[in-house]
Amino acid sequence: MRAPVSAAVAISVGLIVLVGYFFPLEAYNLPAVRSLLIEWGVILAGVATLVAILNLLGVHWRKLSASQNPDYNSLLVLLAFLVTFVAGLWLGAAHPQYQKVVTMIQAPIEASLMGLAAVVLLFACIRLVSHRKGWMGVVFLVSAVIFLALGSGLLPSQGDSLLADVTAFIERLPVAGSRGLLIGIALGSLTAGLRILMGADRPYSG
Amino acid sequence: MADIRCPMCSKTNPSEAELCRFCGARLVPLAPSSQPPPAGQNDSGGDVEDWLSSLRSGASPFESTGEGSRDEAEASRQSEEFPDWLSRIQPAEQPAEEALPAASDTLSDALFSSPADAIGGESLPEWLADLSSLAATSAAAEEQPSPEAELPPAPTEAEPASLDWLSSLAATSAAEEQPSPEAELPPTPTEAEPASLDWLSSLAATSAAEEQPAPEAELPPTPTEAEPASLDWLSSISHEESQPSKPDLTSQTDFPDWLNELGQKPTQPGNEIPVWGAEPSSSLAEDLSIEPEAQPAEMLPDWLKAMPRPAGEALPEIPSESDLAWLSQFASEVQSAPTESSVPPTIIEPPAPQQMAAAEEISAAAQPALELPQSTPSSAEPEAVSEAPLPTPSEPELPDWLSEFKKTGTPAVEPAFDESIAEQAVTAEEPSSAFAEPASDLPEWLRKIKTSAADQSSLISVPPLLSVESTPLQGETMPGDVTQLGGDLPDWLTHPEQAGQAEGDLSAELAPAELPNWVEAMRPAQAGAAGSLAIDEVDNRVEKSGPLAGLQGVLPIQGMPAAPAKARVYGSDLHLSDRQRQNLNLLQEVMAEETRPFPVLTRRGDAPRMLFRLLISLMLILAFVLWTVSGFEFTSPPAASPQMQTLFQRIDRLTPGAPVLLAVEYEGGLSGEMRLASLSLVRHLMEKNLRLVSLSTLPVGPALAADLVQLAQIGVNYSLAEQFTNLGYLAGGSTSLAELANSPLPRVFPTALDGKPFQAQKALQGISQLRDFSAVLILTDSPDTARAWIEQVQTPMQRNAGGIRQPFYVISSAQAAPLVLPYLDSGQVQGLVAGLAGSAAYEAAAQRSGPASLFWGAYQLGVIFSILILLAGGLIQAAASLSRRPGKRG
Repeated sequence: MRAPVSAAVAISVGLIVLVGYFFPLEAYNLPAVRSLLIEWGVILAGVATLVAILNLLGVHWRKLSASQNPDYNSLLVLLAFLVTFVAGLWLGAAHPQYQKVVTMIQAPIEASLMGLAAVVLLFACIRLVSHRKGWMGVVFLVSAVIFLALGSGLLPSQGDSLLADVTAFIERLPVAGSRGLLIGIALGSLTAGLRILMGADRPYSG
Repeated sequence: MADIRCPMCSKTNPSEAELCRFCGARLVPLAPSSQPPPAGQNDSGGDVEDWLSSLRSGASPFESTGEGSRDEAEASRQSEEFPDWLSRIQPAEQPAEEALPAASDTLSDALFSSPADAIGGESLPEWLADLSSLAATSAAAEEQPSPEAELPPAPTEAEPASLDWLSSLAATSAAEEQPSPEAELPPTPTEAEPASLDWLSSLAATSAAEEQPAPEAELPPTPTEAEPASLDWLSSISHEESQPSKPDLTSQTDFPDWLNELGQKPTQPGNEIPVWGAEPSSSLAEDLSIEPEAQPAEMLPDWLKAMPRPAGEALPEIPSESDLAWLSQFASEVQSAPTESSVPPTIIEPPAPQQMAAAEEISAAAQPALELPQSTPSSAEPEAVSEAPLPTPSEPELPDWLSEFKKTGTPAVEPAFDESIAEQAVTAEEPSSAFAEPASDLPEWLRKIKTSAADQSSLISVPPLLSVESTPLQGETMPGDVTQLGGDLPDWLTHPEQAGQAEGDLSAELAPAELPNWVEAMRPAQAGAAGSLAIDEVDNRVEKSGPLAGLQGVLPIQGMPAAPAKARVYGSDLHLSDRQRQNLNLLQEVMAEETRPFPVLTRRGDAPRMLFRLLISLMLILAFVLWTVSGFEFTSPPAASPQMQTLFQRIDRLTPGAPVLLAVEYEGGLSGEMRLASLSLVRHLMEKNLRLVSLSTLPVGPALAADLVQLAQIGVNYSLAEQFTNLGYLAGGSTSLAELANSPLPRVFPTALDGKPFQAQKALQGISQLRDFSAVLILTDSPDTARAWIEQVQTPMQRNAGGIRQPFYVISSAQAAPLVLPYLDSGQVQGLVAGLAGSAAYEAAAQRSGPASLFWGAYQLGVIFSILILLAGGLIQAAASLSRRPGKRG
């Protein structure tokens, strides 16, 4: 679409949905329009997912069919996809056997990788001390140790002892930071939405 | 009006021009003084000067009738000095293409003025006609033809009057030698002596002896009263007035009448008068348009007065026989003159006697035309009006004043110039005997002419056509050599150096200007100024050494370069400064370092690293084995917090069979933690016999939800087929959550994950919207997903019929718990189970053991070991960095 037309469509749709949220005027059937526009968005999002899958297949196919240095791992990807696709069509998504693809293959692999990530982070923390000499490295190391200990229950967070109070206080520190992050995220989301409504940002123009 | 030919460059110029527009030479001579003649000049002198006055007026005898008018005031003044018969003497019509220059007009006018015009246009008196015959006779008797000047033959009675004799007079006078200092009176013409016009040349010679010659036209001096003898010629002519003879010139239609008359009438002895003295005819006077000049009667000689005049005009007095004695003197004075052409172009020599005789012969033969003398096509001479080629007469004796021109005029004069002068008709020579006067008696106008000429020669330093620096080679002529032009050139043309010297002398006499200081400051520094070389103007130092020893005024040796010495030999070595040397050394080091082989750094072996990794792995495996074998727990599981207690109680208070929405929003990577964290709660929901409906906005959500439910169902009497529905995947992310919150569920999920319609699901009985669920349990490992569910779903949910908004419970991982706690604190989330510890605490609240408590020991051992590794590694790294030397860095 041409830039002015796409901008006009995006702005108009956003304004309608936003106004429909603030002023659900049944007289103007605004909630229905808003719902309809949202449904269209959901459809487009679903189609975008299919497009992403097809794009991924295309990338791996190009890698596999490259004249110089073809990537044979893409063959595995394509085969796996093909098998999964065929199995899903054949068995169905609710079939327990088909779901084992996720629960028996994907989930364990990802979990293993996540476990390795924990070890990698552990090593990174150790090397941080040697690479970034200064107080920040030490502070990071100490904070990591404390919160690991708190989370593991090594330090008592309950009770009437001073340690419990200190532990409780320490456990509340991340909450303060998270609140600031959430406020910042909210404000950023609001600004991004307004910029799109005003036409300042056009992520859809390509 | 006819153009004027420049005497210098021979180029034509307009008649009104005074200076040549090509070379700058003067075309018009300086006008004579208008002052009255000096004292002493009586009437006779005034009569004699009548013709001189015509010279001053610049009247050309060859001018047409219409152009012969001059300034009457000036003419009247001049008429007091010169007799009318002289001033009115004018030749025939001047050719159109040629015109005498103004300088020559002054003299030639008087000379060539027709005697008939001088007397008012009447016919010539007989005495003039006799004079012409006498001149012709004497010209034939004398044997000194001027080879240069072609003097016209003397007109006779039978010979039409010719103006050639006038030009011959001029040539004769130019060729005459210097006469005696005394005034040479013209001989009195006698009856036997043919009228000779040599009297004019004698007059010129006489005046030349007395006067200083001027570079320009020099007119004969005005005769004075002290020289009555000079008027003898006039007196000799006067007796002839009784028998005026009019030459029969009527037959000559092309000539002035007076000339024609002169030629026709026979000359009588004693009555020979110059042709120009003859009584002019009236027609001649008209042709020549010579206006009779009003002269006081007392100024005119008697003979002029006796001359018949036209009606209304007074006749000029015809000179008596004694007055005309000078005419006879001319006859004797006619000699072969040297062929010098120093005569200025304006001077016209009187014809030689033999020329006059020849002229008479010619006139007697009734030549059809008497052409006016023509100048030869010389280079730079103003051409005379006369056209007739005259026989080359012998060069007459030049009067003194004419001979002076030889000295001061152009030294190198072409012979052709002399011929051209000789061809001129009327002499401009003064009647030497009659008009000679001492130098002191020069008229004022003559003195001014000389003065102006002298001044001009002194001021003008560089001639226009000459270059001071250029010197002609021997035998060659420079392009600007004006000497080749011929003629009498002024000094400033011929000798520019003299003029320059004169100018220098003049400038030396000038007082230096007093310049203000600011102007002096602007004076440019002159190269080689005196101060630059420090050379005194008066250098009395005598050089004592060197090749210039003994000389004075030599440049001082001191301060100058020493004696030539051997040139300094520059070696091939470069002379570098310290900075350059440092830079050079630096560059050399850089270049050497580039080419220097770097030693291969021996990397430390991977054994320590591998050993370290292996140690870590063994520790973790030991922890797992230790826990598994012994059931080691470092500490007891955490106790249930009040918040956890609340959560347990809320779920425990749910109505059995109530629908609970289970949103499985965690990925497969954190499924291990999430599964351990959510099993206890999901099992509690199953133990409460609640209907579980799961959905997910992640593609893997439905599969993980099914796995969770199946895992939680273990040991619980729960029918998944009837109490559990997996709605499947909801595409669109947060947008779909907004639709889920506002749209009916059947519209959002027409079918379940198994493909059966929404209404066919037993677990979805009585559920159409989200608010129909008793609780919403979000299982997520991402804070964004939790935020999206809270913002998009929890806010727009309406309260149920009981006025209670459905509770939101979140089961999150340990990494997302800090970002979900604010929502718990704000009341948007009613319960939070954070990771394994939370699940353990929930189990403690439920007072049952679950997987969380089972893996708590292992979890603690893993964390402990992690802490120990961090501490140990940090300490080791710190110690190593501190102990590392500075030089080994990098």
